Amino acid sequence: MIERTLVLIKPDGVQRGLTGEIIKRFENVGLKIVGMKMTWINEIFAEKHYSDIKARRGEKVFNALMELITMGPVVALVLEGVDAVEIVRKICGTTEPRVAPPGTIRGDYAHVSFHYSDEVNQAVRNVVHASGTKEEAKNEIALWFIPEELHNYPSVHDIHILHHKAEYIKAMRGKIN
Amino acid sequence: MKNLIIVKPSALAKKVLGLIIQRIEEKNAIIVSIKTSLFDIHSIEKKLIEEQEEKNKKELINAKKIPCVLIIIQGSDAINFGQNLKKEFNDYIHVSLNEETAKYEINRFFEKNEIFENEKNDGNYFLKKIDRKEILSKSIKEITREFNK
Repeated sequence: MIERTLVLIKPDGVQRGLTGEIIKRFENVGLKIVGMKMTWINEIFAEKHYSDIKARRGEKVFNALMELITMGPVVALVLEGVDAVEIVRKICGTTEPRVAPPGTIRGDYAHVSFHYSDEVNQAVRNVVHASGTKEEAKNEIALWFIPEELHNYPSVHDIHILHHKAEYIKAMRGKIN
Repeated sequence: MKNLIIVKPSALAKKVLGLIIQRIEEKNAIIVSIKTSLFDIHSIEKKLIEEQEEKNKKELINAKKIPCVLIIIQGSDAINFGQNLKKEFNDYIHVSLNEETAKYEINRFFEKNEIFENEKNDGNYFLKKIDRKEILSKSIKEITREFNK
C-alpha cells in the first residue's frame, strides 16, 4: 500500500525556478521525500529513461524528449506515501498542459498543447515527469538512485496521516536526537 | 560566489524543504547542486569549525547518521543571502559563515562534477557545459565510504 514513486523536475521547471513550489505541493499532502538530487544526464542515460517512448509515441517525440531532458540539470525526487504513484499523477495533472486542470502543477505552470509542440517540433514543456505505474516507478527509481541514496526518517505526518503507532515514532525519534 | 546550505532533518520532517528552496529561487541566487547525504549534522557543525581552525582533515565524523539535504547556491551575494536565510529558518538549516568556509565546506562534501557552474555568476541559468559522463560513473557509495574513513 505504501509506495515509492519517481518525480523529475525537468530542465524547464528547474530553470524557471519552480523547484521549491513543486516540492512544497508534494510536501503539503504529506508525501515524504526519501531521496533527492540534482543531476545533469547524458544521452545514454536519457535513452534508458525513455526506453519505451520510441515504440509508444514514435521517433519524433522520442528525439524531442531526449533534447529536453538533457538540456540542463534536473531535480530527481523519490516520494513515499499511500498509493504514491496515483497521488503524484493527480498532483501533476495530465501530460498535456492544455487540458490539465487548474490546481495541478501542469495546469498552473504550463499551458501549451500537443498541437503547438508538434508544430514547432519540440517536446511538451510540462515541467515535471512522474512515473506512470507501480512497475515503472520501481524501474525508474532503480535507474536514477542507488539504495544508499534513499533514506527513511520519522515525521509528524507519520502519526497524523499514516497512523503509525506512537511506539514507532518514539523509536524513530531516538535515531534523530 | 557560492554558498553551502545544509537542510537538517527537522526541516524534512516538518515539510519546509520546498519553502526553503522557494526562498532561494525568489532571490538573485540559483541552485547549482543538490544531494541528500547521511550524517550527523550536530557533530558535523562542530567538526567543521574545528577543522577550519586546525586544518586537521584526518579525523572525520562517524556518529549517528541522519539524512540531510545539501544545496549549493551561487550568486553575486550568496554569502549575505545565506545569512539572511539562516535568520529566517534558524534551526532548520546550516549555512557557511563566510566565503572561505563556504569554499572549504563545499570541497569537503562535493566533487567538482556534481556542481553545475554558473559562469556569469548573475543568478541566471547559463550553466557551463561539463563532462556528463563523469557524473554518471561516479557512485555515491564512494563518497560515503570516503566520508566514513
